[in-house]
Amino acid sequence: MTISSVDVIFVISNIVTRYYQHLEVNNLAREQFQTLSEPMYYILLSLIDKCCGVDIMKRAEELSQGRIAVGPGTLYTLLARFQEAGIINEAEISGRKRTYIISDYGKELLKVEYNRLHLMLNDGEVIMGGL
Amino acid sequence: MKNTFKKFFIFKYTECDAFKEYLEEMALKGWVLKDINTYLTFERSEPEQLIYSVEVFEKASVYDTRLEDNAKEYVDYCLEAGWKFICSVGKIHVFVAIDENAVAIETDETIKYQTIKKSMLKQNAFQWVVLPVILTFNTVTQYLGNFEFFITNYMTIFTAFIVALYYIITGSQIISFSIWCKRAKQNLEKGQKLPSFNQKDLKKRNIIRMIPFIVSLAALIGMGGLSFLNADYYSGWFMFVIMGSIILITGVSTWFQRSKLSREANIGFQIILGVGAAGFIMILCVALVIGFSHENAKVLVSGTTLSIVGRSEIPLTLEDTGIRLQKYRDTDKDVQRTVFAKCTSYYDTTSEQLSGEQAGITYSVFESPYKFIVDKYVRSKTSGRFNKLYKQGDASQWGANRVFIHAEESYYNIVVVYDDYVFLYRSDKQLTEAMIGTIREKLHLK
Repeated sequence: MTISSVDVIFVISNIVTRYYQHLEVNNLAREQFQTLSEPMYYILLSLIDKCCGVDIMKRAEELSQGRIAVGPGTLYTLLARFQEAGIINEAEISGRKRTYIISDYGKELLKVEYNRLHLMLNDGEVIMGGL
Repeated sequence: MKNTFKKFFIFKYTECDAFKEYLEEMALKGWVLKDINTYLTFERSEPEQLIYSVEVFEKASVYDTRLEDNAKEYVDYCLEAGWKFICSVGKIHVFVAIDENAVAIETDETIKYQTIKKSMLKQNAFQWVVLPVILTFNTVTQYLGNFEFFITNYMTIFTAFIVALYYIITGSQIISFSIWCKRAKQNLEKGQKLPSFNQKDLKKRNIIRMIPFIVSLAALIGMGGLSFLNADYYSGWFMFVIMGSIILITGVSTWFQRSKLSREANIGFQIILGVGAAGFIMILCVALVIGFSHENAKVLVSGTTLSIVGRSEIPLTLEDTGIRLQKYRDTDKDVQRTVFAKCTSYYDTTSEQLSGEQAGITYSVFESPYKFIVDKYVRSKTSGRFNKLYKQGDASQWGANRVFIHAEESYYNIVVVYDDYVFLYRSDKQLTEAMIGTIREKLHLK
């Protein structure tokens, strides 16, 4: 292989790496957590107390009165993303079992979401209340 | 009655749902999936209605052949939710429901889309971006650098054919993935599920995906056979080596996948295997070049000098150009032929270090029934950066269409163009009219 083709490979791999970094940092950490989806909201609510993955699934279902079911794959991905963004912390590790708890930043985020939902409810009440 | 059944089956991350349907159909027929490596391995059982889930686990590596720690944790979550782990290969993990009311493993379609997209891009970055650049670079270098070798050799034609095939496959993969991404985004905006294929489509796609393998294998065998028939043993053996390497690498990688080694061991072995295979092919190619570079080759040793000397019968010798016979001479004839063109090259030289004098002639006849190939060959020899000094010469004394000459005091190059063949001659002495007559007579030039 000549030096020029090695250069080309190097430049292209740099572009690809930067693209992935851009995807991860911008899309996931910022945009995704600006407004929480229902499963995200209930997972964070479940993590007000220390909780392991399996318990989170059960607690989210209980808190939402069976309305929200978080699949184990989705939960695993979300927990990893929450942790990367500093929204939750790892509280305990026992073998393969990991326990998590919401961080101060996570509580702030949850509060913002709670207030947003509350405002929406009030606005709805003004229009829909008399119907 | 056979209790296991193996099937070669290819599916992409975007086709997991179709593959799940396929597994459920197999279970209904009494075959349950036991393992995935190079093949799918099914085991006979009672026909039953099973619910499978085929998932892309992003944190797994394509080098994984067994569950690593993070995947074990993921599998634990799934088990608690009512999904039993069956097997995995790379990022793909297969589960079967132990509770028919189990919540789906992926409940968020947006996360599923992001996982599939990211995994596809990561896995294919090399194949879609880097490899085409290297392949294009190599093919263009071969085509522009030595057109004569390129068009008269089945080995280079086979390489170009594989590159063309690779472009078609990669291009269709990129287009198909882009369409899937576009449809997925539209579906997500409407709050619908990700687009999926049914298992019938997947089966059809599998048949189509086998075609390039079969075509490549047929081309390899066909062109290798033609090389042997044309006495181009170098290309023939080269393709034989390529075929052997493919079989060997497939066998060894199947063994690795079945051995279920750790991720680190798999990466290490793949590097060793890759470097080893590349080194082995290179050594074999060098051996083939040496072995077939000279007809009736003999090795002469004089002091510290080692020479490989040929003893071929050639139509025009140094004596014909007025140079007296030397004690040590090296003559060689080489024929390269494909359905597109044929090139017969000759040389006759003496070795300065062995005889005290040096002289030599090199000449070739390039033939092709296709005018554009002849024209391209002439251009490659008489124009471009390295051939600027070629001037048009007198074609009448050669009875040719065109003549190009680049002559200096101790350097004489001539390209003589006829309708469907080209004569090329290089020497350190200028040709006289008498010599031209001799050359035309001995090489039957019109």
